[in-house]
Order: sequence, then structure tokens, then C-alpha cells
Amino acid sequence: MYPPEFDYYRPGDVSEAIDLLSGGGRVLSGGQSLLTELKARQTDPGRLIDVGRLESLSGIDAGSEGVRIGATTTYAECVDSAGVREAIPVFAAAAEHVGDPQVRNRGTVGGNLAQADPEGDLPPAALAADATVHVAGPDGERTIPADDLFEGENRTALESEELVTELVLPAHDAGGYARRIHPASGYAMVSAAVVFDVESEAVAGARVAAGGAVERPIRLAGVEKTIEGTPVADLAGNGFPTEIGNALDRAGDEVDDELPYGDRHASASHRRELLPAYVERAIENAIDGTGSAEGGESR
Amino acid sequence: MSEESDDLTGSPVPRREDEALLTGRATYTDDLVPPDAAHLTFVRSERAHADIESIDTRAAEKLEGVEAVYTWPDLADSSSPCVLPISTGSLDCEPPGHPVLARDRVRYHGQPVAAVVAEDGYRARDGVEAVSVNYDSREVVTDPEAAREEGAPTLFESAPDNVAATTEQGDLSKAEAAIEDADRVVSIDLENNRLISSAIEPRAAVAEYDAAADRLTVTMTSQSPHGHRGKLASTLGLPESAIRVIAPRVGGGFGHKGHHHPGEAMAAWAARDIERSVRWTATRSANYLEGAHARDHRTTAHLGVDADGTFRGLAVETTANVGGYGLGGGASMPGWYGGLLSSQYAIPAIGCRTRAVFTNTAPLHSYRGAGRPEAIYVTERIVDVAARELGIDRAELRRRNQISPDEFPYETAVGASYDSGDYEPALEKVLEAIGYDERTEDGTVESVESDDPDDGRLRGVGIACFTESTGGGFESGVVRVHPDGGVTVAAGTHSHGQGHETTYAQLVADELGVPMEAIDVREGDSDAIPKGTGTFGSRSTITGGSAVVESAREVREKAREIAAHRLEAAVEDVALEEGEFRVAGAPDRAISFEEVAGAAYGRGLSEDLEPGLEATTFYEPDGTAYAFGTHAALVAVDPATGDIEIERYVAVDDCGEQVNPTIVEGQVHGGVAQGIGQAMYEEAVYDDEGRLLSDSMAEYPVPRAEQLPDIETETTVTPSPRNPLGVKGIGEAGTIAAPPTIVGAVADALDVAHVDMPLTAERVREVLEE
Repeated sequence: MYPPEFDYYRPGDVSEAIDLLSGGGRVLSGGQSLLTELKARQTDPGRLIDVGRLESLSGIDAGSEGVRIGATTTYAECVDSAGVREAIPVFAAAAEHVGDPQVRNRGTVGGNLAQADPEGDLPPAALAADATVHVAGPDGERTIPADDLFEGENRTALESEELVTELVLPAHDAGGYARRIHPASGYAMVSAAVVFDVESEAVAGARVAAGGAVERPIRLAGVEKTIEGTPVADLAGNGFPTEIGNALDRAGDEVDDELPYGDRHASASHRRELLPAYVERAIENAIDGTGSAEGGESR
Repeated sequence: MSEESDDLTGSPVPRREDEALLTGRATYTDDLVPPDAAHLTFVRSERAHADIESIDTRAAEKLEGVEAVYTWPDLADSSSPCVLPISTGSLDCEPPGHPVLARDRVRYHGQPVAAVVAEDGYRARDGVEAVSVNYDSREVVTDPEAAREEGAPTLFESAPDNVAATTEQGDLSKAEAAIEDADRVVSIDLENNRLISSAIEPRAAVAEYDAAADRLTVTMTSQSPHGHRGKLASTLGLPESAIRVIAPRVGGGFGHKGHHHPGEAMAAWAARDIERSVRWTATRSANYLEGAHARDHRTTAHLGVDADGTFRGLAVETTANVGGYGLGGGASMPGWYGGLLSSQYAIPAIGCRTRAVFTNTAPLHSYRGAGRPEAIYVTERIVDVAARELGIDRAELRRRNQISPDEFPYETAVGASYDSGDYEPALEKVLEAIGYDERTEDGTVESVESDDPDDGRLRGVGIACFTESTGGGFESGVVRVHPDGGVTVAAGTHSHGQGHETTYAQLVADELGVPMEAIDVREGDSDAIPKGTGTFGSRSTITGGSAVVESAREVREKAREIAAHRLEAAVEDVALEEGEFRVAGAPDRAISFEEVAGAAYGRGLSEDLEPGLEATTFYEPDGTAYAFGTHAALVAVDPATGDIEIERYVAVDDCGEQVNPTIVEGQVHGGVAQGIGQAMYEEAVYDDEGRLLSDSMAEYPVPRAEQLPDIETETTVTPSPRNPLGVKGIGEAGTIAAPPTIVGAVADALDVAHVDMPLTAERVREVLEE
């Protein structure tokens, strides 16, 4: 496991990082995906631009309207942040599932979204949470809504010389995440993230996203529409109202237009079949207020 | 074994080796960097079956920091054979052994084709990428049954149908007649999935050549230092005395560090060639590509059983995929797998035919259990199917056929001689622990632990009985008392997780009456320790433990004679008590063990005693010890997702006397974890072109802690009469018992006769949809 030769740069600020990126190379942040690729010699970028120590890119700023999370903030910092857990429980729950403690202490949220792994935990959570990704590039700064960020397997709307600087996530009342762990890699073979507010004791502004079964995280408009306006109490008991159960059963159909994603451990069609169960669990976790974690893991 | 309660033997003494292992202070092979070390890496075949047309090494040779690039002609020009030894004795053909570097043809994906030696790992890897190989592809066959068909590509001329060996154990025609005679014939077709050893530490070697002395020292990841010395001597064409093999700390073996691979041989050969030290450490992927892989049987079995449940005969035909080369005994190993087909049952007629077949896959060899899990899996699965077909409870059917305790020693119909056993108590203990009596009318079990049994999940219970052959071959054991009373114990076994530093010290401390702290246990140096056999096949305590105990007893007798002389008493009046030799009836006349040790090397010995206080024993047991047990599991299957939760797992094992119950429990835990890995997750998979898809831990699912249940362990104790300690092996019990236990539980939950491993969620869903 010896990487190919590369030049290493550690810029002092974001503009220097952008300048360096214009000369080619890849951004190194937590390195939890990139170093593995390098050591396996699956990539040979020649240059690494290390932004991992740029203090301006790190940190969590939680307010009542939402949370700003710096791109190089680690998963562990998100999990440990009371502000993140309270304002965007779906994101904290998803971050808690990434890798193992070592990975969570090194890997960064910006790197995760830019990597856009089809089996990543954060992309569906960011999509459900309606995150806005702030990006810096040679032409200045711009923002990309999560709805426009993910284009395919390891493909995003980011340009190669652009850098994620932070995410902004609006606060929501309830959020839940559930995932089926990949038996070999530990990634999310299938995942579902659910976010909504509670108005007059009913679901409002529901956003539901699924990952793993297709090449990019995708919103499930049919499920969203069905749970919108449902009294929270109807989701809390044993068994959902028939209408919602039916909508869940159609969850797989909602990803029909997407490129299927599967492997020999779990075919794409099997993953699609699992979607209803995991969306259901994500809703349950949102209602429980657990956000997630243990409740969402495959039992 | 002594009955005294203050004995160390039999008590759960904490493992002495753990502090160094857990704090990272232990030294493993890859930690060793001789000052002149160069680094070895292999160019591996990208093809599964191809002729090598040409290899261009020029670009690699020109790279800065590359010391040498080797291909087969370099090896052929040397005085060394450079072919790994193969046991052809029990094969029907004489295939060539595995060449250290491919000769003119590659037979599996990942086979070493060229070797690059460079200043460091980076340069070596650059060198590997600069080597270009031209292949002319041949047709590929990875399926052992397809490989036997007419027109299949042939791997070796001497085996035109790719069959390495057809072996028969027991008496197949007698078994078939007995089956025909029975009230009912029960049949099963099953696959035993292909596995890869996943020790935490990959294989590694550091070869150092002393040109002045013409001696080679190879420090390596070995379960069997003397075994590897012999194999290296064969591959390199050197006398064994010219090679020293050192096995330092080794991070898990499971069999794949007990046999010979190209890595250590190439490192040793290159160290002699360039007269500098050569280091090699396999990457995880290299370890997975090269194997050895394990299991991989396709089996058909028939059980003849009478209406009352009496087993009449068992006939088994199996095809084993032994891969692209015979590696040591790997190709002949499946030929004796049938020896355990009788499991715990009195089956009057058993016959087993095994076909070992070459295919374009990594070579096959032993992996924790090595044939035992494959055999027990067949028997336990077909017994479950028989119970289902006969409508007899699975536990009751087993009980009716178990060999009773007064029948031992018991000769099975496949020729195994069981030493001792008392099977029913272990079965009853497990049934009680798991709450088997709470079985309901519809065949499901009221889960004892589940807090929500009405959660829509399907529940099932599985039980599997087993026997395990343990402890073959001889072992060396040395006990050396130093003048200050300190003791060095050495054995030809090797501990890479088994805890010998603790167990051997417990045994010897009791024999000599000295504290464990005074005892230093040494293993893993072929120069320092008399020729031994090594650690595999659940053999170490039986053979190495007995050898060091016999040496300790010899030392104690001599110490007693020295003490008697010093105390001016008759030998028979002197006894070792509380760390000193005392004269019977005269408590003030005593001499400490330390004083005796000093006397042994100084003046004051009687004329008929030679100086020195040490003994060497080469111990071989009186026969195989058969450990046994019964395991049970409760599972809950979620029909919506196919997820299987193991709600409870109970293991009742009998390994005879236990030197250290905590270590016994640890061995059961590890084995069960690996057995659950086989049952639920693990499988080595090749694609149609013979490329190994499961070539990393991201692709090959070794279970993580969170995927394993709490393992509840209990034991019964039935001593073996075949060794002085009364012990039986325990190392492989879990890998034998867990697969049929888990598959039985899931089949019960799904209400089907059988499901093949691994029990992936997708497979479970497929079964539910049928």
C-alpha cells in the first residue's frame, strides 16, 4: 500500500487553495477516501492540496434558524455538537454511522459531500435536510442547493477547481435516519433520511431522501406528499395509515429514472425492495426523536 | 491432573502475553528493519489462465532505487529448485508444485509473475508498475464441477480431467446398501462456501543472509517454524541446518501461516542473491489473491433412516475445489475430510467419495477446522432434514442416535477411533440454556430474551452436535532450570493467539512448585528449540503441553534426587511441597528449589548424577483426542428486509480437562465468530474471467463485533485417556459448530429444509418469495 509520488501543498487560506487547485491536483481534507484510493494506486493526481488545517473552514455555528458547518469539520464534531443534534438531528444521526471512531475523527463533512459516494451516509441526510453547499472557486463564491449537488456516482455539480467551504442547514423539528449496513464495507447499502416540521401537530415541509439503491441520493416525492399534513400521532403508533403504507411500498418505483446501484452482496433490485422498510424506520426514528442511530441500524 | 485446589492448572489465570500485545509493544515481523534491508514486492497475474509470452523488466530495472527485478529464468539459473513442495503421495496425478514465480503459464488471478526488490516499498511498487507482461489467454474454469466436464480447459497434463485425486473413505457400497435397506432415504445437496483466512496480520518475512557463515535467517509469520524451515530448505535446495526460522509475535494464523507461499521463499532466495536483507509484507489484497483459500465443497449426501429415527447408513459424494496448484498438502487434504462424518452418532455404515479438482482459482489449504467443519456441516444438515421429514424433534433424533458413553473407545464406520465422550449431557445443557423446551406447537420457539416477540419477525432455533479430531503428531518440549532457580520452557509449537505463555507456565509451575513469574516460555526459533511440529489442528496443549509436562516431571525427579543427596535422606522420603523439598516426618529438614537449582550446576552433586537440570521430551499422544459439544442459536428473521438477528448463541463444549478456562472460552468465542462469518457473510467470489472479486476487506465481509451476538459458553469435562493431561483441543470447535447451528436456525425460521451459506439478506428474501 504505497501511494504514487505526489507534491504536497498546504495553503494558508482559501484563495491560495483555489490558486493551487487551478494548477491541478486533488483536495486533501480528512483523507479518509482519498488516501485509500492513493494507496491502492487507483488515483494519481500528482498534487495534493491539503485544506485540512485551514481554521476558517472548520467549526460549527448553531443558531435558532439553522447551522453553519465548516467543510473540514469532522463527523465526530458534528455528532458531539448539541447544536447539530438539536437543530438537524438527521445530520447528526447520519454522521454517527460513518465508518468507525478513527474515520469519524478524521473524515470531514465537506469531503464526504464532494466525494458523493452512492453508499455514503451524509448525502441523503444533506438532501433531506435541504442543505446549501457554499463553494469557492476561481470566479468567486457560489452556493449549490443539495437538490442540485448530486449528479451521479462520485459526481457532483462542483467544478474541479472548486472547494466546498461550508454547509448551511436550516433547523427542523424532526429528523430521522435509517440504514442497512453493507456487510463488507460498512457503508450504507440502503439508507433513508426523513426531515419535517410539526405544525398544528401535523407533518409540514416533509423532505424524504433515499440512498444506496441508485447512483445518487434521491428525494421520494410520493412519500413526501403522502406524509405531508399527516397528524404526527398517526405516525407514532404501531403501523402507519394505509395510504402511507402504500406510498412506502411504491418507494422503489420512485427511483425508476435513476441509474440503479448494486453489487454482488446486494443487487440493485434487492436494495430497491428494501427502501420501504428503511424509509419506514427513518420516519419512526424521526417521530421517536431519536434522530436515529441505534434505532436505524440494521438489527 | 492434580486435584489440589491451589493448582494453577485449571484456573482462569489472566493471559500474561496480553499487556504487550494490547499496548502495541509486541514485535511483529514487519516491525523488523535490518539496516541493510531492501523491500520485495510482486508483479501478480492479471489473468486467471494464460501463457506468458514475454515479460519486459527493462523499464523497472532502470528506475532509481530498484535493486533487482526477477522472473522465472533468474530462478531457473540458480541452484535452487524454486518450486514450493507438494504432497503428491495421495494424489492420482503428479502435477508440478507451485513455482515461486510463474514459469511459462499462470493458473490463477494474482499468481506471482515477477519480483521487484528495491530500496523501499515506494520504489518497489513503482518497479512493479513498470514491468509489462504479455499474456496469451487460455480458457478459464473456476467451477470444480465444470472443470470435470469433457472439453473443459486442462490445468495440468498429468490430470487431463483436472481431478487431482479421487478418494474413498469408509465403505460406500456398504453404506449405499444400508441406505437402501432403511425405511426412508433422506437427501441433501449443499455447498460449503469458499473462504479466505483473514488474520489481522498478513503474511510477512524478513530474510537475512550471513554470507560468511553461509547461513540464512528468515523471520516470518509462521505457525510452524520447523515446518517452514523444512519447506524453505526444499524450495531453496539448502540443508535444513543452513536455515534458521524465527517466528516472532504473529497476528493470527488460522492455517494460512502453516504452509508455504511464494513470498517468504522469494525473500529468502533474493537475500542470498543480492547478499543483503530482504523484507516482504503481503498487502491485504495480495493475501486474498494468493490464498490459501478454504472449504469450497459441492456435496450430495443420502442418509438411510428407519421410521423410529435410527440411522442406518450415510453416503456422501463431494467435489472440492483445490485451486490452481497443489500447495503442500492442500490438494490431498479434502481426501480425508470424511473422517468426521459420523459426528456424535452411531451410524453403522458410512461411505464418502471426494473428488479434489484443480481450477483457475487460488490454491486451497487449511483454514481453522480444515475438513472438520465441512464434514460436520454435511451430517448436521442432513440430520435436520431427516428430522423434518420424519416429524421427529431435531434434538430427540440426535439423542436417539448418539453414541453412548459406555461404547468408548468407539470405532466409527469411517475408521475414526473416538477416545472418550459423553454426548447427551452437553446436548441437554444447551437445550436447557436456550429454552428449547419452550418449543411451541407450530415449531417456533418462544424466544426467552426477545422483548418483542410479536414484532413480525420469523423466529427459529438451530442446534448442532459435533466431534472434532484434535492433537496429532509429535511435539518437542524443553524445561531448563537455571542456577538461580529460574525456568525456561520451550516448545516446538507457536502461539499466535492461543496463550501458550500462560498455559505452559501454569502447567510447569504446578509440576515444579515454582511461581509462574519464575517461568519464561519460549517458542518460535528453529535454532533454539528442538525440532517440533507447530501449532495447527487444535494440537498444542495436547502435544506441546504434554511434552513440557513430561520434561518438567523429569526435571522434578532429578531435583528430588539432588535434594535427597543434600538432605542426606532417601529419595523416596523427599517430597516437593510449597516450593521446597522436604523430608517426610522432619519438617525442618528442607531445601528450596533455588538451592537445588544452584547445586545442580555446582559442587555437591552425588557421584552418580551428572551436572545440569533440564530435560527434553519428544512427545506423541497415544492417538487422536476427540473433542465435542453442542451449540444452539435463536434467530429472528425480518421478512421485510431479510435481516437475520442472532438473538442468542449458546455453546457447550467439551475439551476434556481445561488448563485455563478463560483461554478455552476465548477460543470458543473466536471460532464461533469465524463460523458465523462463514454462515452469514463470507464468500470468496470469482467472476467469469476468473478474477477474484472479493480481493479486499471492503469486498470480503469478515464480521465486525456489532454483527456478532453475545456468545454464551458452558462446558462439560470428559477427559481424554490418550494423553497425560486428559486434554482435548478446543481451537476449531466454534468454526465447526456455528455454521450448521446458524443455518439450522434460519432454515427453521423460514420453514425450509435447507438454505446454502452465506445467508445474505438477499438470499433470505429469495427463499421467502419462493
